Amino acid sequence: MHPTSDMLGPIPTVLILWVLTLGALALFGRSVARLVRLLQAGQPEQRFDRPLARLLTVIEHVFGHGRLLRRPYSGLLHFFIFWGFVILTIGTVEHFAHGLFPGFTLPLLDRWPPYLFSQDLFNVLVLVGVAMAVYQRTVIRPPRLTFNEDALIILGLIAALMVSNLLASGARIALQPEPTDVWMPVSSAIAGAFAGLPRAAQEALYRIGWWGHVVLVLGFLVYIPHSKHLHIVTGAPNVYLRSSRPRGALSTIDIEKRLENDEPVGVSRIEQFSWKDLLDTYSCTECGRCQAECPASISGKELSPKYLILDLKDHLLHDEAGRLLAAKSDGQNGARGASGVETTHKEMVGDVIHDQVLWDCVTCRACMDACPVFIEHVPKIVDMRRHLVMEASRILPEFQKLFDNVEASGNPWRFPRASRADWAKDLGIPTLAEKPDAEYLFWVGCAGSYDERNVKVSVALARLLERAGVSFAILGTEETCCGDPVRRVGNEYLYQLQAQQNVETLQRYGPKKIVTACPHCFNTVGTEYRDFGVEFEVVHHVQLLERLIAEGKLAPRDRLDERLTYHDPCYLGRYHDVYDAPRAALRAIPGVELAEMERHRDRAMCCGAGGGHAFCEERTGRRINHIRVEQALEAKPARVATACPYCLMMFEDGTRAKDVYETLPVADVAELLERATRDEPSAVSRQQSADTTTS
Amino acid sequence: MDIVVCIKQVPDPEIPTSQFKVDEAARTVVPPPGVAPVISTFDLHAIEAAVQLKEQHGGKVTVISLGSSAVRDALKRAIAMGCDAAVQLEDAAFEGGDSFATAAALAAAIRKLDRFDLVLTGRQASDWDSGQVPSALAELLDVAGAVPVQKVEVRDGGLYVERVTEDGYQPITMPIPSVLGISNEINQPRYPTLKGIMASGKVPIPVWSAADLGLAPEQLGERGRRIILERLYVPVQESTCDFIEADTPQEAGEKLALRLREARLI
Repeated sequence: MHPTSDMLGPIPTVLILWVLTLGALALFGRSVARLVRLLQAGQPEQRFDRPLARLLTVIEHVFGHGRLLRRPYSGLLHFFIFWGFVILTIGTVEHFAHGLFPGFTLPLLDRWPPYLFSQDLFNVLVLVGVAMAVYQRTVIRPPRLTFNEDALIILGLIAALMVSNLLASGARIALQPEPTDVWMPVSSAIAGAFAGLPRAAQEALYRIGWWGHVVLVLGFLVYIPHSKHLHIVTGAPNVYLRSSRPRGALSTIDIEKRLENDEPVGVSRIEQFSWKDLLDTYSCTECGRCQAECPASISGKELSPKYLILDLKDHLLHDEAGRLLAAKSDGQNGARGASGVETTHKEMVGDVIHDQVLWDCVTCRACMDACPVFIEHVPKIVDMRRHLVMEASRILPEFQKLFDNVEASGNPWRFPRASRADWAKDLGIPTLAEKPDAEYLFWVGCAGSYDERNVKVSVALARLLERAGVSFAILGTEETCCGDPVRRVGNEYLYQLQAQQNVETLQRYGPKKIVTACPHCFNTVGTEYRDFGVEFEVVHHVQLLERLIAEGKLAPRDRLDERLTYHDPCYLGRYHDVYDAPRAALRAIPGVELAEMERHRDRAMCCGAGGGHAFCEERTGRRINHIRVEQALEAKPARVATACPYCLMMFEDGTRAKDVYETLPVADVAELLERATRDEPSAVSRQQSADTTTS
Repeated sequence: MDIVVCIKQVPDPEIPTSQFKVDEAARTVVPPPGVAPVISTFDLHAIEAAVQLKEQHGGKVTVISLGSSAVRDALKRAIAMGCDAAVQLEDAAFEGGDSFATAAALAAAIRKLDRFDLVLTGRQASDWDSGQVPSALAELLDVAGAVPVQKVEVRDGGLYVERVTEDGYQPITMPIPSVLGISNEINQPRYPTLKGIMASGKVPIPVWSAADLGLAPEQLGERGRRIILERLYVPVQESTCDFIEADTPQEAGEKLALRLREARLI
């Protein structure tokens, strides 16, 4: 029995099928071609290195649903629908080939029991997945999901595809049973339900199912490029093309060259993004996992990473597509800053994306970590901030102050350069100039040098290094701000000035290893300075301390009978996967009980100080650090431990605001270890030892 | 609108006061070493006001400063913010001058320019806070002047100006040209764009001497001072606390009253 061996009036149905199929493919092809042309308007970017690593990522995260399964309910339903799609595509190919080429049978798989069973099984599993999805969208209604038509249309189409498949399959078994049908239990059951019907009715049902499926598949094909289901096409490629740069390293641009060529230094128009940035906007499925993890969204700010990406997509496909496609056809290849036919021009930065949305970001990367298709939100935000800072000069007053301070005195608070090493003056710590062969350079950072609270951490770390017999030195007044805060805010120019100063100093001394107490310095000096042609072995103090404990050079003996919770700093955890070292260091202290917050490790919520926010006010919603203190309190700790000067400041500010400053002290891992290793006297005077306070 | 902005480079006012030293013998202030000087705070607002007026009405903004080669950094910053031209006034004869001597030099420089519609300065400098230059300039240039100013707009061929008072402001109309001493309420000075910073390195900044300005030595520097600095010192602030001893509150009250009477406070 053959679905396209008959006639519809004078026209052979096989011809109708050919026309429909080719027509749908043509429409699909045209839409895709337009989308590709728009991608080509973006800037070039190299994303084709390391093919094996990229392939492994696709295997783990696309086929294996790595990130999706972090939310088990959603992950499972998507697993059914996704794998159903993959397995049933074979069936779809067979379906169409059978219709287009009478006499066609699927090589190898045709009548192969496991294949037959897989079709039936996944038809059902997909329906289960769809039912779970509908339930989630209509009953559970998580805030991250937008309840919209597009989603329900798609779910309806998918369900209809499955039903039509089963209908055709069941009717075929009723009309023309085969011995292998025993491997299709569901279709056989449906055939059983049709058994009592007259043959003509069974044939009608078969035709409805068969042609219904054709129309639905082709309709879906044509619809895909116009809906968020475009992610079917772009999702896996987007994961393949993920960034292979170290996570914390923003792009370093040649500012002089750009200005010489009159090219922009920030992004203010959609075509100034790279083609990969534009592909990101195609791949967004509106799942909202980014928004659910974003501290700004959680605390009621205007920024939602999901809407940021979707607004950029809309801007590309609706506001700017006409102009970009016209410019292309005129032969003006979308060069940076090229304008073409301008109609009512909406400013991407300002009108489409409000300034405040860009300022709200704390650069914690929770969004990027959560996204199943590896969309890169943070670099886009920083690129647009670079426009605001270096081109438009629309800067929050606090950030202007930050820039002036760093430029004038090499630290965010305008303390004099000459007093950068005052914290160490009575401790007998040599400078690298005095001891050039020191094994470690202790990079102190601005907070560790100038902030009263964080100086205590620097002192604690220095003592620990001495006790462990580690040879180290500091740069003293030759150290200047690493440039991280100004870079995150968007002042790439000032960052490069700062970086060049530090790189020059570091190259001159050539330290073998660097240890720092600040994850931001750790990230910037350790990974971002590589763009200036230098590479140092940089460790964060928790990594070194863990190693020293493991080697027996530090033996914590003094008890600390407390229940602690550890707050993962973003620039140590999500940025560099350092989760275990600080916990191991804390557990080495006798008496410590480590309790975890619900949001811990890669799901830890930012303290709110990143992205320059340590230096500006939050004016809307709740304060991020207050929310984080509440999360810490839920773990019922006696003390919070952390490993970052910003986190320390934000936590103490938060505990004060929430009136728990006395009951919930905050300390750095180094401070706690220092307290636990005091039975070993150091070269430092007894008096210094006595006046370190960790409350 | 052709606007002239007069700016002064001062030691960084953000430095904690404890870091400053006073040389009492030489009667000079010694700022801490290694801290770069900056543009006086109110002058930044004046530059911003000038650039905004230029952006609205067209024209040219020229910035002038009196000082050694260090002030060229200040002039470059002003250009990066949007000024079009800059002039540095430098001469050994300028040294040791007060507000009036400085104003004499600035006025001579302003007269040397082609033309001006408006002269803006900060209302007072962040180091000495004398606040005399705007008024002195107006007098020397023989035009109207107002200090301190929180708003200026061009209206009907003249200026609408709001002058800050203790409890509000005074709306005034003034002719063009005028001199205005700008106060901080007027605007938020912009951070220079990258293009501005790069351009500022390329604008030539001529240096004019006392001779270029046609000024006689008696008007300038130490000799041109009208204010004599008698003494410069850091006041010592002390406080003492006396407890009134008494057996009853009433007695303490009486004793306190007597003490205050003796001190002629009541």
